[in-house]
Amino acid sequence: MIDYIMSCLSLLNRVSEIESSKDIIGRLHCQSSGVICPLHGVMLLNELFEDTATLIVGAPECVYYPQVGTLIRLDNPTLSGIYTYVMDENDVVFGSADGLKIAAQAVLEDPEIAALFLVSSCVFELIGDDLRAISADIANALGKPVFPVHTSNYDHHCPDYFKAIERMLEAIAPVLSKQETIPHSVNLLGRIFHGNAKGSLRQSELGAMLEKNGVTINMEFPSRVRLEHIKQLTAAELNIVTDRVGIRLAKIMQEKYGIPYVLFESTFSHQTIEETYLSIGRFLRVAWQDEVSRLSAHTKERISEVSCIVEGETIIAGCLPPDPFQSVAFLSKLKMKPLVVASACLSRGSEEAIANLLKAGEDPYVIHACEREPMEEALKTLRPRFYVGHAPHEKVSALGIRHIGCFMAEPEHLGFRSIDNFLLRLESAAMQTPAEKGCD
Amino acid sequence: MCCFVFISIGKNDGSGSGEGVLLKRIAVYGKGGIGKSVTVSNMSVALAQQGLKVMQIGCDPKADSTINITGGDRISTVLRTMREKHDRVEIEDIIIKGDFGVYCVEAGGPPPGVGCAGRGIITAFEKLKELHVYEKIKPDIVFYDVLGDVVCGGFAMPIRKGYADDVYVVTSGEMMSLYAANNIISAVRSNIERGYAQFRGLILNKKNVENEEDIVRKAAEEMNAEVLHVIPRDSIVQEAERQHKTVVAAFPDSKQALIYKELSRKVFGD
Ligand SMILES: Nc1ncnc2c1ncn2[C@@H]1O[C@H](COP(=O)(O)OP(=O)(O)O)[C@@H](O)[C@H]1O
Ligand SMILES: [Mg+2]
Repeated sequence: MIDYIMSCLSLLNRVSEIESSKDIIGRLHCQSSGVICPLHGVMLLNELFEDTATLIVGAPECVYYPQVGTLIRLDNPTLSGIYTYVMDENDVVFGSADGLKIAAQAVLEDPEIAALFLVSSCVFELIGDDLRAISADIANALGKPVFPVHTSNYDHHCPDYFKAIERMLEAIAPVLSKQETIPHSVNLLGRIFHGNAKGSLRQSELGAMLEKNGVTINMEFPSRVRLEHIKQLTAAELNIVTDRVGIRLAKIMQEKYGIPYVLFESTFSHQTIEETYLSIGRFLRVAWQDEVSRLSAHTKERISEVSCIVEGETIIAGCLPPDPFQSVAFLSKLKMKPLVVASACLSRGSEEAIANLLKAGEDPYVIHACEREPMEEALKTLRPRFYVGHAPHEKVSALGIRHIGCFMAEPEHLGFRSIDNFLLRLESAAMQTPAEKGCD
Repeated sequence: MCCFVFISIGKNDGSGSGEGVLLKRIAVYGKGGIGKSVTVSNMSVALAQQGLKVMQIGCDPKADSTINITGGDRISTVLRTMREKHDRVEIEDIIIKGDFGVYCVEAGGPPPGVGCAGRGIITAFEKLKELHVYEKIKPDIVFYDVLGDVVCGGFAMPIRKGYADDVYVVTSGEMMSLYAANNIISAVRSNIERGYAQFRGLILNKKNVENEEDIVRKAAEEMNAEVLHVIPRDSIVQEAERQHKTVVAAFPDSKQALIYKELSRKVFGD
C-alpha cells in the first residue's frame, strides 16, 4: 500500500471500521527513530530537486523515519515529493515489483514530476529484490526516468546518511550527456548537510579564489535544481569534489565524459589545502601560488599563536566535518588535551588521525555520535574547559564549559579560512578567562 | 592515508564500476547433483590449459564446486572468511589458484537449516565487488557454478547486471531436472532490462535414462531452447574424482576430456 505523507485524519479508521488490530492505523506505521539511517539522507537530498519525487520501499519501521522527518521538516509535507511504499508479508515473500509499479504510476501521473528516485531499504535488500530491474521496468512503462537507489543499514560497514546522498547523486548520472565545455570552468560537487547547513559554496574561500581568478563556477551540485539543468554538469573542465558525497558522481563523470576531479573537502591540514589549490591552479592555468602560500603561511602562524594560548587545556569534541578523529588530532597538535571524541563511523582519514593522536600521547574516549546520554554524562563528569559539537548552548555553559559550536558547520567553510575561523572562535573562548601563559 | 584524500587530476584510482573488463562471464545453473560442478570444472581447466585466465566461483553452500581443481583441498569460503575476519578480508584469503592456474572461489553459505543461503550469495558477491576482485585479477572468463534452481532473489544474483552475460543450464532426461531447467530459463527470461544475462542453451549431462536425448530435445523445443551439447555418463569422471582431479587434467586424451574441451569452445567462443 502507498503511505502518503499527510497531516490529516483521512487515513485513519473509525472504530466502526476496526476488524483486526491491523485496522488500527496510525498516521504512520510505527514509532521508532534512527539518527543515522540512510533514509535521512534521501529525505534531505530530495528537497533539493524541484521536479523529482522519491518513492521509498521498505518495512513499516524503515519508512517511518523519512515520513516523520518530512513531517517535522516541512510546512506542507504533502508537497514534499516523498512517498513510501510499505511492504506487506506478500511483498516480502513474492517481491514488491507489482505493487511498486502501481505506486510509481500513481506518483508519476503528476505531470509536474519529471523523474522518480526509487529507494530501497533493509528488508527489500535482504530478500534480494531487484531494484535495478524494477526501476528499468517502470521507466519503460511510464516513459520517465527512474533512478534506483540502494540503501540499507547493514551495508558497507558504515551505515550513514552520507552514503545515501552519494548514491542518489550517482543514480542520476544517466541523465547526463556531453555538453559543450566552458573553458576555465569547474563544478563544486558535493556539499555538507549537517545541522541544516545552508548557504552557497561560492561564498567559501575556495569559491572566492576561483571567481577572483577568472574561473567560472559552472554548477554547485547538489543545490536547488530542476532535472533538465543537471545535464549542464558536463560543461565543466574540472570537478572539485567539496564533500565526499560527490565522489561517486565525479568518478562516473571522469570515466564517461573525461572530466577529471580533485578532492577539496573541509580539513584541518593547511598543507593539504595548499597542495590542492596548487594542483587546481596548474590544471586551470591560474597563477595563484603567491596568494596561496601567503594564506597558508598565515594559517600556520595562527596555529602556533593559538596553540600557545590553549596549550594543556581540556576539550571534548565530536561533530562533522571534518572527520572527528582528524579534528581531534588537530586539537592535539594545538597541544590541547582531548578527553572525548564523538563519531558515528571511521572515514578515510580516521586511521592516520588516530595514529597521530596516539603518537601525541592522547587517548580520548570515543562516544557514538548519535548517543546523547553518554555525551551529557561525559560533559558532567569530565568537565572539560571546552566543548565543540552539537548541544544546547545553555546546558553546556551551565556546566562552566565553553561551547565553541561546531568545527566547520557552514558549507562556505572551505579553505584556509575554515581553519582560521575555528582558531578565532577557540581563541576568543579561551581569552574570556585567559590563563597566564606569557603568549604574545 | 590522509583525511583529505587528494586524487591527482586525471588519475583513476581503479574503483570504478569495473564492468566490461572480462571477455566472458558465464553462469551455469541446474538441479543439485546434476553435474554442474563436474562440467564447469572441466571447462575451466580446459580453457586454462589453452592459456586463458579462468576464474570459477562456486555459489553453493556445500562449497565443493572447485574441489577437483584444488586437489581435493577445501578452500575457505568467502562467507566463512567474512565471519572470521570481519572487515579484514583480503583477496588472498578467498581465492586459491588451482590446476593450470584456475582461480577458485567458493561463496559458501550457512549450514543447512539455519540462516539464509540466498542472502549469503548476495553478501559474498558484494564482497567480491568491494574487493575489486575482477579488476585486480582481470580474468578472461568467469564461471559461476550456481546451486539448483533459482529459488530466491539471492540465487538470481549471478544473472543480474554486472555479473554473468550468458546462462547455461545443465540437465538430464529426468523430469525433476527438466522442471528445474524450465524454472531457471523463465527466471532469466523474465529479466527485462537490457544488459542482463541471456539464456544460451541446455547442456545434457546424461544419467542414462531411457530415450534420454529424445526426451531432452523435445522438452527443449517446448522451452524454446537449444541443446548445446551432450555429455555422456562415464565412470572416468569418478576415476578422476578419486585423484581429486578433473577428467581434462587427469585423462587429457580420453574421449570424455575431448567432449568437455569441445563444450568449453562452444561456451567461450573460438
Ligand atoms: N558425465 C558424468 N559421468 C559420470 N558421473 C558424473 C557425470 N557428471 C557428474 N557425475 C557425478 O555426479 C556427481 C555430482 O556432480 P556434481 O557436479 O557435483 O553436481 P552438482 O554440482 O550439480 O551438484 C559427481 O560427483 C560425479 O561423480
Ligand atoms: Mg556443485
